Amino acid sequence: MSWNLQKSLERIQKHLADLGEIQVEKLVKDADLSALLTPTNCRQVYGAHVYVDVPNFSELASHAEGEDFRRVIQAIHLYHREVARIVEGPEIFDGVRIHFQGPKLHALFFRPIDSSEDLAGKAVLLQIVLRQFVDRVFNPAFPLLPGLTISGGADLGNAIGTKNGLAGDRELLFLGAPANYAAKIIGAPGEMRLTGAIFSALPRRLRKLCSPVSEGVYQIGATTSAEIVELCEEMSVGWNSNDSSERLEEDKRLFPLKSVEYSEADSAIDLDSLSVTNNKRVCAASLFADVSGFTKYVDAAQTDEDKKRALKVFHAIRKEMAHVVKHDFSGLRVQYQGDRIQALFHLPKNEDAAILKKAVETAAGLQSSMEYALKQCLPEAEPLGLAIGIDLDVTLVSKIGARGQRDRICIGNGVESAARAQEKSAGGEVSLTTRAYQLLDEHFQPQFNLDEKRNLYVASKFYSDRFERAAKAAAYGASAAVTVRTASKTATVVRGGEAGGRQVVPSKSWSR
Amino acid sequence: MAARWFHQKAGPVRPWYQRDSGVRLTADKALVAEHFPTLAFRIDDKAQVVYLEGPLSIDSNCGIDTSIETRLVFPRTYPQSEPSAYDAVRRFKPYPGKDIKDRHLSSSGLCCFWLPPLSPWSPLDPNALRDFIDQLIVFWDRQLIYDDNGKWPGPAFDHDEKGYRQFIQEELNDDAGLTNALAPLVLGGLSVGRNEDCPCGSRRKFKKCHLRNVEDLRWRIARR
Repeated sequence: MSWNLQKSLERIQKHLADLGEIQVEKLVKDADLSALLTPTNCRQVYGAHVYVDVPNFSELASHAEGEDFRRVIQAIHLYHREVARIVEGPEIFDGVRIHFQGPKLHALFFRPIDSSEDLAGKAVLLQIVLRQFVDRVFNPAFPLLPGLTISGGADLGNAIGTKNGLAGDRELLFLGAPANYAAKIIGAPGEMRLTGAIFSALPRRLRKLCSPVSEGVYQIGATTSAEIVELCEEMSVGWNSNDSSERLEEDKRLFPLKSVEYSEADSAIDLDSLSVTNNKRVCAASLFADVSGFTKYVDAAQTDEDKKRALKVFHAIRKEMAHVVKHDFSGLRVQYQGDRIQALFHLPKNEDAAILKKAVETAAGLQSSMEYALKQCLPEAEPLGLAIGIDLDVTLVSKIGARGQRDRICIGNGVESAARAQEKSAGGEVSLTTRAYQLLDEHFQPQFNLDEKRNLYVASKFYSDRFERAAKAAAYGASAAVTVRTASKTATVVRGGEAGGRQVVPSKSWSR
Repeated sequence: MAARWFHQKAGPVRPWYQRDSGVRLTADKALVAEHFPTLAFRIDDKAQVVYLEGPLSIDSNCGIDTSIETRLVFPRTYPQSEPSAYDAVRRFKPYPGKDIKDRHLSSSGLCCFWLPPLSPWSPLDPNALRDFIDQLIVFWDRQLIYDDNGKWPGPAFDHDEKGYRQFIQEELNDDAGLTNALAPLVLGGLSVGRNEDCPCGSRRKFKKCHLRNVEDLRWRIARR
């Protein structure tokens, strides 16, 4: 299995032909976004995007074992259940849980339509409430785990909402600055942040709680329990810690520690079979590939035609990336995160170097698809590039949420560091962490150069032909014969002997 | 009459591509058309130089091709001597921080496949040109690998005279001391009389010690 230019061109052309007419309209009235949105029925949604992360979960998932690991799994599932209820409960925040990116929540507030003060207020209050929930409810409920801390970010503005084409579990996707920037401003554990756009729209009382941390970024200060109760009342948010505590206890009864199971994976993980009672703990390479420059590209789209064109490009890239991961390299397509795809490689079981090589080969395939196939089919994608980050570590793989609204999650240090490596990469780059680089075969290592500033090993123009050549360098190094095949227009050099070709012993070169 | 007869015998030697009714050129053209149809012969009659030019496209399993503009120049002594191969448009530049020689190219784009005494060129082999271009394809393939990481894939001699010294050392079973003693003789920097002591330090006469090795190496280097 590998990437091939001709096959890639054919499937992109087929996908574009099958995509149909894209509609992008402004969302002007309340709607169930998961029912309304499709790949071609898209809406420009004015709203507040909020990300809330629990960084400790990754550390715990990578290092806990045995019963401790089961306790971590239980905590992750119950945290997600209660946070989803807080976000989506009609009597609580009445927002949209777009998805969980591992331990990180992405939520959206868009109702009341275009009411910036209400939307900004909810975005800030959600962060305050979740901080209180973790401190006062969740941590006491799991006394054997180290105390969790959360961090967050929020932004306000227009983003284009769409959905992937899969049946079953929904995957809402939002493109545009607020959906992206809210995640980018997340700071150290314990810091809850917001952009200038949110700050400007806040009601006076909430604004007083915030202080600037850098240009255009603010953080939310400490709040007392009494203040939170008042703020919830003022903003008609029906949350209180007692209700959360009761729901959490009920969940603990429903999903006791003894019901939580996990195992290794000898064959490809069926992500849809996973649940709180069926989890996987695998040594896996995480890969994140982001369409660098796409947020600017979408934000620059002013006319309806520009927006439609941007969405056509987005869906073509998204679908092609998923195909390369799933079908060309047998990886797991975990999640779309806006214009980013998350993939996981865990086979062959516990063979770190082979797993990593597969992830690196996939990165070369993704870059090749972008540069050689997508840009040929869609010349308007020319300014875009893929930024890819890869790392490998012990990873918890599971699925959270209720039927129809379930998220595939991967949690572990390798997932976080792969995501960070991608975020530090420019379009066209493939970046490895030091751990990943050291696992790489010696013939592939020279393809990557250490960037000390970023503490990453980075390769540019790393395409599938280059991956093939790196593998071939080994044959040349061993002075082994190669086979030359010539056809009407091309010549191919392959390792070893092969029918239909001429064996050539590479010369021992010299120069005068 | 005598003068005319003399003139005919001493007249200009026909270029190789016209000798024997151009049979070698015809055979090489057929060989190239069969195996490398993107290359074409060009004859500069005035300079009596033959070129073989065009793109060689190095393919990969994934379908990404790299086209390399190639030029072969056939010497007047062809087919006794092998052609010279060139990176026609100087596609390959020095790797950052390195010399163009490190990729076994000269500044004129001349490819240095091998040390001349090790050339496998066989003038009478009808497939010699095909085998030569196959080596060139492999050489281009190695250039592309070098482009990726700045490391020449596979074995190589050092540049210039150092390479010859390595060759001599290989031929002398990797004896570094012997190489130091004999290399100046082989490469022409020193001469020793047949009856003088052998420079190897054996105290035997040169003619009874390493003369034969030195002559053999000199001949192998000189014939190319």
